[in-house]
Amino acid sequence: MIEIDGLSKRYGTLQAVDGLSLRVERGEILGLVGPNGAGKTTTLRCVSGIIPPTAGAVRIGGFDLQAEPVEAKRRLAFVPDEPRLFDYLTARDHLRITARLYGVADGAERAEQLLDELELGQRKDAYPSELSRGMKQKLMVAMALLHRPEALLLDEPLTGLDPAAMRRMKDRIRETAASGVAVILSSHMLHLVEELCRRVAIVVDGKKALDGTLDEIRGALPPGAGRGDLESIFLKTVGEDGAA
Amino acid sequence: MIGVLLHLQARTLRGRVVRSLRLLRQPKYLIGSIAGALWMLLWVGRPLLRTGTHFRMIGIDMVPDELRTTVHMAAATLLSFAIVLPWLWPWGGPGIRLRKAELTFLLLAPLTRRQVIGYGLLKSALGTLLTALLLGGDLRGRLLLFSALLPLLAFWSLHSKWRAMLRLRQRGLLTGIGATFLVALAVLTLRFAPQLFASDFTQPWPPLLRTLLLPGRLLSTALFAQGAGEALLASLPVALLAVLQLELVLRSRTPFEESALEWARATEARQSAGRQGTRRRGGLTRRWQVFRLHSAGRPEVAVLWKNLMRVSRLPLLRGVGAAVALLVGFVVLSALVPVLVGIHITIVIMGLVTAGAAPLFAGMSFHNDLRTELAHLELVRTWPVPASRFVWAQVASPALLSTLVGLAGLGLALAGYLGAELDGVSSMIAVVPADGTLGVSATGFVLLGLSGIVPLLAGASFATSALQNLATLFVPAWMIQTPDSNRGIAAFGRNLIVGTAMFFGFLLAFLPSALLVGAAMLAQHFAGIAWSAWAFPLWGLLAAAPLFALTAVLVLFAGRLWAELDPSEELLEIGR
Repeated sequence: MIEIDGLSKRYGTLQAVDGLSLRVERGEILGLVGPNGAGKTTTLRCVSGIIPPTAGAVRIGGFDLQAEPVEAKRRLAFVPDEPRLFDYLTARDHLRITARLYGVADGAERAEQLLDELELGQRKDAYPSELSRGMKQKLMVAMALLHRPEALLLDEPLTGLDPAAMRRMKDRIRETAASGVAVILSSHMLHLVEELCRRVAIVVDGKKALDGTLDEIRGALPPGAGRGDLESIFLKTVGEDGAA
Repeated sequence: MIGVLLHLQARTLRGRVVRSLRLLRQPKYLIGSIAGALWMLLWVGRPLLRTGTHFRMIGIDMVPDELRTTVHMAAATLLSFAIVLPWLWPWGGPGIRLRKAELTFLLLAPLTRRQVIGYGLLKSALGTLLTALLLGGDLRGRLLLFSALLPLLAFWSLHSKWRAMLRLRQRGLLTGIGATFLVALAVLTLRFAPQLFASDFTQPWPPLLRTLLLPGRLLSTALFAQGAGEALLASLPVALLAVLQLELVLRSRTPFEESALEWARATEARQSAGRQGTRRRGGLTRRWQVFRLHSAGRPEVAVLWKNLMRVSRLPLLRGVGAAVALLVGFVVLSALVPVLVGIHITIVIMGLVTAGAAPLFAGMSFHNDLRTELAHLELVRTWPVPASRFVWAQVASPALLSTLVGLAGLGLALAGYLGAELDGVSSMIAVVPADGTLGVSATGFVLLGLSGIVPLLAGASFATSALQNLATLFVPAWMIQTPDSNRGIAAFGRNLIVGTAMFFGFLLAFLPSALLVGAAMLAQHFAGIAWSAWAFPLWGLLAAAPLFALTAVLVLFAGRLWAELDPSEELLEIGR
């Protein structure tokens, strides 16, 4: 569903992403992890069509993002790490505009349903300035899910959520994937990635350092290279475990 | 510690300069900057660099000797009002105005209250210095005036801050004192003014009035001094007052922190949200929509809907209906209650000025196009809307509102004319004979003339908006509207460059329209067709056609730019 082939992005002299290739199938959740400045956010921005890549190709549901951007974007949803909502639109307005942009036939009903499910039912007519950070994040998720995307990109989706909301959000991500959506989840919360993702890609300096299921990754490392959880594998990979 | 704060200020400035310079690596920004610098040198710098004795002082040498005292006293009166009147004003911002990030940093840092206030004052000192420089002129010719202005402006600025800080806790007492002073000053001035005029300004000023004006005269003496020595001597007490005022501000115990934070929050919200974003609305109005947005239909209409909502949630039809009702009401009222012809003329002029200005400032008026959209790139770039249609919606948003405002202006002008007609004084307004001209009655002439303006108004609104959106895509880092984008001298220079370029762009855009209408009139003349007012709507359409064509071309071009836009360096990474 999501195909990334040889993706590169250069900012002036900085090579933010360097020949990254990934593939995410329907129903799969891929965890994208890496140290700060590794190129995760840049990768997600390229895959969502916010910025054009310097080289490489991205296909969403078989549609090339550069050649057929409208068709590709119609199948895609992106939840950025920072919820940048329109200050002058209410929560309900945000879903209204999303419904029209993506042509969701049952937009109004689905918006009500999502707002209720994400505990924003009482805040439908609130402006973003009247919502907490977590509520804004939930609104972004509601907007992302409204048009039933086939590919979902999540950048730090649990930031600002309370423990109960985190639990519900994790369940929501699992359910979304289970319904056949390909999900890329970028996060520094390694326990979250380990809990939710079947596959993990570790990105270092814009390049893919490791890619596979946790078992495959463990197998690829030398024997005794850590306790075996994602955190020790990650630290080993980025060379900060103190034993490297 | 003040060294650390100065360092912070210097680093912030350096960051802004580096950010601006980094943009110059792109040829379009470099060329724009060079062109802008040359333009500024030509039109702004040249007059400042001129030196001449008549610029050396404020122009007091041009005032006859017998009037000099009167002018000084008048200036002292104005200054007294300007300084004391704001004490009566119950509203206003906090004395110390800092950005939210700065305040959060400063209030958490291990700094004394005096240091935090000092930092706030330091930031505004640059503005005072620049104002004195600009007003006083360049250092070669008008150093004297600069040295006279600087202490006065410094005192004024510090006094305003002190006033704002004190107002928070001692409003009643100070308002009373200020009001008493101003009432006394106003009464004495009004009583004395007729005598002064009657005596050809030779009547000596009453002692009580002179006493009341003593502070104002003291503050302004340096501006009216003759010779360097006298001016510098007169500046000394003002400088001492400024130092005293500085100490009073620094020692102020007024808890300004909360109001400063509230002001910073409100300012940032206002600048990011637009004019209606910060207003609290009731449950009813926040459910209003400019028009009902259905789930099915062309996606770009959603962008238009959103952009219109940025300006107002008032349903469009309801707004139009209310405007029409108001205008009809005015005409009916004119018929029932005769009003002065001056009121009709004022209304007609106001309407025509509104109709003329609205399309010219279409892009600049409403802040609901690509300039504000760029701050939401991470959202809008993921939307599945074809590039040219997305740009069309951005162009149409301010253009539609400007057209409506222009139409309201035309409606106002028409209402003013019809009101005069019903009052029987229309002949004093219309530029046509009362019995009509060009084959129609006077009212017919006005109606046809205004109907000819309608298409031109719409075409101009769309063309100017398209130009502005194209400029936004061409130099996004200079056009983006965010809370931080209009700060500093760099932003001032950038706005000047963009504004000038846009002005010439607008002029060029209207050239084809003028040529086409001119050609049509020539053809009519040579064909021997009689002039008729019925041609006005046709001329309007002819004038509008090139503007709409230009809009279409610009939208297509801008669409390509939007599709190919790589905002990573300009906006996502360094523009925020």
